[in-house]
Amino acid sequence: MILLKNCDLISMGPLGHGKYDVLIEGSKIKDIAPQIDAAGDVRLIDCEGKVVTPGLVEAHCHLGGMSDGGSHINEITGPIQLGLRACDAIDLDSDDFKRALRHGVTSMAVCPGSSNLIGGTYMTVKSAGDSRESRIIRAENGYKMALGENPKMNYSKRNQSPATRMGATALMREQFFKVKNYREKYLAHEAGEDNGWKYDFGLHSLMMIFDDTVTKIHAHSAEDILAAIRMAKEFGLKLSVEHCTAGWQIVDDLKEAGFRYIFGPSLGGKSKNELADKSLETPAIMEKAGLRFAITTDSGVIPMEGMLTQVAVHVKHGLSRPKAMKSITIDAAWCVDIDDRVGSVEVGKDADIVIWNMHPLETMAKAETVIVDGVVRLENGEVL
Amino acid sequence: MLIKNASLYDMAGLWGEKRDIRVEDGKIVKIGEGLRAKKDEEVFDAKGRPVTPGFVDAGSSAGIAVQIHRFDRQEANEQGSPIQSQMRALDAFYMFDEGIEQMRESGVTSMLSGPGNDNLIGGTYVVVKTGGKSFSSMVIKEEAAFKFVLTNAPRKNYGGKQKSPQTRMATGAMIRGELFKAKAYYDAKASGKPQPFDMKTEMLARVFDGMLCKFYAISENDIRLAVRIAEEFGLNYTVDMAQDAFKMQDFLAEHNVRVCMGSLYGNTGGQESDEGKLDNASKLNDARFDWCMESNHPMLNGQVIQPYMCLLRKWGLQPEKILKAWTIKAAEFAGIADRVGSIEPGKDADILVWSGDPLDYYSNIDLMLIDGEKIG
Repeated sequence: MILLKNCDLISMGPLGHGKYDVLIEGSKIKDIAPQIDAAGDVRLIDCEGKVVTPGLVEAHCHLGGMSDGGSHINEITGPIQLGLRACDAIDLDSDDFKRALRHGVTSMAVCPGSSNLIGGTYMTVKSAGDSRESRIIRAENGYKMALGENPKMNYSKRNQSPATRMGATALMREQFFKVKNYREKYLAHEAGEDNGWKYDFGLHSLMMIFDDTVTKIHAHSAEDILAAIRMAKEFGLKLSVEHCTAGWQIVDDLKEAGFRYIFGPSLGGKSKNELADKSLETPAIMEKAGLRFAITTDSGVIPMEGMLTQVAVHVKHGLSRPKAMKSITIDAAWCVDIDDRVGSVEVGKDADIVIWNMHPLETMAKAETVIVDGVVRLENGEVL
Repeated sequence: MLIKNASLYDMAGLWGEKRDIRVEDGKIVKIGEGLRAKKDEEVFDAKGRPVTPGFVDAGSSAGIAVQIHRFDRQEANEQGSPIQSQMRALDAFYMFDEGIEQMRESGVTSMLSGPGNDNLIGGTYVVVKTGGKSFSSMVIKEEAAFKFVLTNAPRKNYGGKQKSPQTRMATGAMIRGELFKAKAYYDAKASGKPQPFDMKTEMLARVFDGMLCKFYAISENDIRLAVRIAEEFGLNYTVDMAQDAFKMQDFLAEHNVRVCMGSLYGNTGGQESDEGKLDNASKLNDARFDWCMESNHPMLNGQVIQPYMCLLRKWGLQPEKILKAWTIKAAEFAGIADRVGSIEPGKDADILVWSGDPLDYYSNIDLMLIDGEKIG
């Protein structure tokens, strides 16, 4: 057991912000109270003068997918890639994850890239643990798809579809119709109907989009975001819009649709047209509109050490601090449906906790101690 | 204009001292205490806020590798031959590139802007202010330096097409070959019996008159190659990027190498160095080699420069070292310290008044002067 005494706790949960002791038993948070007395075999960590938060959550990244110099996350041989799994490609032992840990990031969604309309499934995973396998939250957390420039660019130069945005949505909708039919036939078959159903590897995998998993669709520009929303409504997908770069232009549509939104990466340049409307004010506008959203580094696009920097710059441009903290903790966890386990310091949740020298949004803030699943994985800033 | 009550970090000895600064005709004319406003002189009361020189970026491609460059406006890398000594960034410079605004967001008022990394010799840098009434008023030097690239980028670009350079040996041989030619050409001209005109050689020969050579090298062997070539031909040079410099400090000190340190933010050395990391920031405090910093924008985007400076501070680099690396040191290494890089009488009035500590995420630039003109 670990007892964190005298925490200036920013819980990101119902307890809000206050002075608490936190008791960890095994991999879970056992108790949070103004005063918990140590009893039995307890390791005491005095957090007096420190700020304590849940481990940060990165809702969209590519850690371990490109760290050896190659790209293992874009199978650019056809725009529809069914049955591909990021979990088979990601190097969980990569230094990328140690970096994440050093910057207080304990959970992340690791995704296929955006070169294909349907890129494969993404995983959710912790940044540290006893073994690679034990760190996995969900090996297949949902599908990752992409609209916009990247698939268009890759395939149009080969004289293949999609060469246009119309081509992109038509190809995606075709798959959604197919998998919907396949699933109906499969379920009827499972219920005993002799309907000639035949196993299809790709469609069988894609069925998960109807099974309460979050489908991530890369969409920067307003027309792409709206197309993603349109398709999600048509097929009943649990949608998360990835990037939302032009989201500020259509906040009312985002609000009305009520999906999950992941904004970013934003700090830095514009390499392509779909980033033309990027603005540092977007999170402030989204907050004002009452949206619930995450802010992502899309790391490696923005390195992990820039996660808090980026969010701080958004605070400088009008985002409130509490909302900023949510965007990299509980709301980020919600965006990928792991908020039942992580994203806040609450009794019963995973003991993923960061002890900071000061408020994490301050310039000089550093993660001093990081606990993942109840085990101290970083101490005095050093990965153990 | 008279800036009153500055907390002045002039990069020439004053560190947070209270001073007034007089600006006339685009230049700094006087720095003192209790200066009285002249008749009709505009007064800006800094009210004790920090005042620094405008930042200087010793190596960028803003205005050349412009924002949103993926489909059009790829102007930074001429293709077809790895030797492009006749290219001038000056001729491609797009003064309305959003990248220049991004530079200003971080407080950069002067920069060397040059070609990209795909060629062994990419061409020459232009030195520009990041704001001004016209392009001609922004240009400090039309051609300030040559860009040599010893990193993997040209080897990938040409090697992949089954052309040289594929290897480091070819990188060295091809650059040396050009310099031998240029030296012979230069000597012939000096002796009054010039060789027939050859554009590339004519342009490159200027390095023998002391024109700055910026050698981009990331890994240890490429850095050594840069120094070997520079010494062989007696060049005025810096080594740029140079993330592996941390591994070879004695060598760099021994050879008096000036390093324009590339970004330490986000594994920017790629596969060529594992030293491009913020952990190394504090090592610069007592580095045994002489260094400044540069962005290589868009690699480290202009907008990220000031947040990056904050990160360097967070990871242990002393504030004075950070600010000097992006002002006076950068100006000295780029050969423009006679005009920019510090707040001293006679220099260009490129001045920043900050809302708070320049090395804090939340500080704004409340006043930016470039050549004495208010920007933004």
